[in-house]
Amino acid sequence: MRTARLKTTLPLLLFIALVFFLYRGVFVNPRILPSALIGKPVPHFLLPSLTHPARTFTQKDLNGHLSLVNVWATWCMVCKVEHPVLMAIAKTHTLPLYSLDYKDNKQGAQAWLKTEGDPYQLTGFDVRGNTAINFGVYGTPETFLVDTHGVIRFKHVGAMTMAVWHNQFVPLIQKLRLKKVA
Amino acid sequence: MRKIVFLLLMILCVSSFAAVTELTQFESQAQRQQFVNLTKQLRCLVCQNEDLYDSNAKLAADLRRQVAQKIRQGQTDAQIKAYLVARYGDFVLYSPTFNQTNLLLWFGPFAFLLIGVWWLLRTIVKQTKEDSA
Amino acid sequence: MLPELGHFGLILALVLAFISATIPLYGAWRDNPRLLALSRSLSFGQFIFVGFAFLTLVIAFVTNDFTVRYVAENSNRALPLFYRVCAVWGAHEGSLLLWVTVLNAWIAAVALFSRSLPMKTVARVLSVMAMINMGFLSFLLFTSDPFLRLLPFAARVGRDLNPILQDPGLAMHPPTLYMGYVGFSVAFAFAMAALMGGELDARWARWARPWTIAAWCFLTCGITMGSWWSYRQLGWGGWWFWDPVENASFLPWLVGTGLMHSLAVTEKRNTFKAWTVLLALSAFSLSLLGTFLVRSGVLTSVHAFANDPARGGFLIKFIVIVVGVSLFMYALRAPVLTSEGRFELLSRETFLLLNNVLFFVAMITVLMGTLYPLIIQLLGMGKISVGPPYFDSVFVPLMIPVIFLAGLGPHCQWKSDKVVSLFHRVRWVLVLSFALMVLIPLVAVKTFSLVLAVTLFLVSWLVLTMLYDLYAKAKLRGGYRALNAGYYAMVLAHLGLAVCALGIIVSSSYSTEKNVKMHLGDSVNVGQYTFTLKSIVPLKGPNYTGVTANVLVTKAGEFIANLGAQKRNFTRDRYTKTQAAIHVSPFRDLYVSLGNPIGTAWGMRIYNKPLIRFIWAGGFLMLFGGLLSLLDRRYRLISNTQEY
Repeated sequence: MRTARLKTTLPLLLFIALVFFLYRGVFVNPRILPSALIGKPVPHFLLPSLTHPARTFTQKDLNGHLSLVNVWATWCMVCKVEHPVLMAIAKTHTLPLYSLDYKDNKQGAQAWLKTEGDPYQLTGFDVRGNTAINFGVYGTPETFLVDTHGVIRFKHVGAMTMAVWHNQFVPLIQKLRLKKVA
Repeated sequence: MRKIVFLLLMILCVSSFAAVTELTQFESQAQRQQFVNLTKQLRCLVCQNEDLYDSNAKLAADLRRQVAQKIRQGQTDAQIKAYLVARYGDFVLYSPTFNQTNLLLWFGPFAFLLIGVWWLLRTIVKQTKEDSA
Repeated sequence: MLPELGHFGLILALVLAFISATIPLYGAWRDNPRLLALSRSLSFGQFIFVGFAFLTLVIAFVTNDFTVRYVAENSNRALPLFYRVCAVWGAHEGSLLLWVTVLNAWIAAVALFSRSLPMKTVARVLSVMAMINMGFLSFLLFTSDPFLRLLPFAARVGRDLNPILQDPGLAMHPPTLYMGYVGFSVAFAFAMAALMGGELDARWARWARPWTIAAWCFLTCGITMGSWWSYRQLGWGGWWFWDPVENASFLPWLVGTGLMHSLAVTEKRNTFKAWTVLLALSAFSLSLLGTFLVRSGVLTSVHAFANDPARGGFLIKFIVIVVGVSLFMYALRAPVLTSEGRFELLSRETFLLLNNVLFFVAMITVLMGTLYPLIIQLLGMGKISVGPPYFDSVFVPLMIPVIFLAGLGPHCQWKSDKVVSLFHRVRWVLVLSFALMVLIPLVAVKTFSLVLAVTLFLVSWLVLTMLYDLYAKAKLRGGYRALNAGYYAMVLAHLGLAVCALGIIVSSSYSTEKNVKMHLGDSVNVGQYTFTLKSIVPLKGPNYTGVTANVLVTKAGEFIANLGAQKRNFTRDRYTKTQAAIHVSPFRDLYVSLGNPIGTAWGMRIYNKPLIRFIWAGGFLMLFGGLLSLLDRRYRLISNTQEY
């Protein structure tokens, strides 16, 4: 009788375990992918600069300081939405911003930065999108946080907002800075 | 905001149910077959319910181009998969890898079947014993 | 005014559902016949008010009432009338209203066709269904109200129905699928009523059986049509993708199939009662789980409605209550169940239970594969995908014993049988199946592979065992007329399985496909067929424009068909849809799908898919089997009075 009771209670127990996961799943967006490159060094790349015809942009430019690398394009509506936020972040002088202009029209992109403001130290013009693939980019905009050793620490997919900046990036930046001091 | 992002992700998939149109050239039928088989096992990251073979997303086209190039260079499926996993994680593989995390996934069905058959046999044997007792 | 009345109708139905869920139950407890008698009229009342609400939404769509937000978002003035009606269930709110309407139709049907049942049982069954109704009516009213207005800013033209849904399939697929999904609530309610009353004898199985079969028929029809729809619609010839939402409809089907077989054992042999109750509870629980997966957005899917934690949160709490309470009752009451009918290891009972084990394991496998990525992610172990290659490689091996046993089982005697005599009965069939396995590749197909060999053997085996069993049983009973409808139903459904399996394996392993770039006048050969691009002409539909590529198909110079593959640009949401052109014949489909222009040429995909029609033909054979068994005298809903 006791084993019978155990056996008939089993479905209930399994159900409770299942529901536990389903309930938590309600609050997670299934489309967001964590980056496979977290904790790995920035991939090697060499791109012409969008804004300074004489310069290039490589992974070496990211060494020695914390930085943000934003991936954007003028055909990407959400990138246009997040642009003022990136401008505001640049104005705080927390850390330098860099970017990859992904599969874009050169003149259009240059004009966009001229009229709307250029928050980036350097922008690599990734016309074929190969560098972005090496970064594991799957949907613009994406924003990477890179540490002083050129290692990727965090990635945000989707529009950068002030809330994302304050809640996710700033605490991480502070932590990374403290570690460096200690 | 989040909603807009995903709306736009969806728009990128807009014409995704159309037949893929760019044509990839291969030297041999074997390479072409490798390309088809492999891209059907890879998941598109933009239109997340399509395989790389059928997706019309821009990124899918770029990745197909890279896969085709690697096949022409003579790389194996494992090498190409490793290349993509390094960039996008295990998510790109429609067929999950055989590792510790996925142990239950791969052995589960057959374990469940064994348990089920064992349970069935035991119940029947028990009730025939009860009868003869 | 009407939408407000519809909304009010839902509120009244909720009130009635509350009364129906409580008062008759109290009546059953207190043995009060007057309270018990209320339950039927309360059930009809719920149905009438919900039906009225549904009707008002249909009218809002037909009359283009764009002051209603849901109408404005999912319809358009240019949309043809037919699609305006179907658009009612084109998005979350309306399809949920359809769900609830279907539930109430089942409630009314149970109230109508249960005259011969004890009033206490009827009251309990209808109470359980009213409780479910309460949950879904609240969900509809509190999180997904389709009657909300846009006033004072009414839309002028409406946003249009999602183009991918603009296909005749929309008229049939969701309603039949929901009829199946929701229909399992009847078996669930019967099992719950039996658990409540402690009357778990063979009678509840007999009462629940026709309802289960009816629901299973609808679900089979819904899944078959859904698969056929995606084949025609998505433009690349796939018919099943192991998408989470497809799996959600497949899970209750698998358990429902098991349930039908196990109800047979419980009813005929009065055994395995606890197990049958558990299956009845699981079938509907999985329907609820499916509804949750589709509507909460926890999984990425082609079909999924918007990701809304409020809806997911509500549904999961509701599921916890319904499924939790039912499994709790099961844990409490099931241990006292004892089996009375004894049987030996080799007996029909064993085969039917093996069927149950296999289908249950298949269900667990699909469920695990569907939820595994979510669980891994929540455990912080990374993000993985579980897709078609996985499901194919674990599901297909499980179906091999299913098909083999489906052939062998019916030849086995109830209670006990001898291995030797069973083998003796089927030995010629076995030999013939092996012969066909060797001969068909040699004579007809001219290729050989392990997959083909196994398929041919299993399919021949199942078909031949069924035909031979039919012949043998007819001889034994004195003619084909002496066999009852239920028996023919079994034969038909098992043949359907064979046909479907053959279609699946042959079409997926022997399809040929070409990806080509064609200029006007270019020809390409696919198999023995020649496809020539004759012309590209502009196209104008009611709410779209586009182009048609006219392709001439010939075989050895002889005309086969003119195919017009289209590309439609929907004006309103700038959505491009590929409308494939298909030449259908029983043994192969020619499928042409138009891609994008490449310079002056056009991209095109051309397929030759052998035996693909067998997949759906098999599905419909199974469906007809189910329908036929409903005609069996023993399960007639209305006239089974004389037996009790």
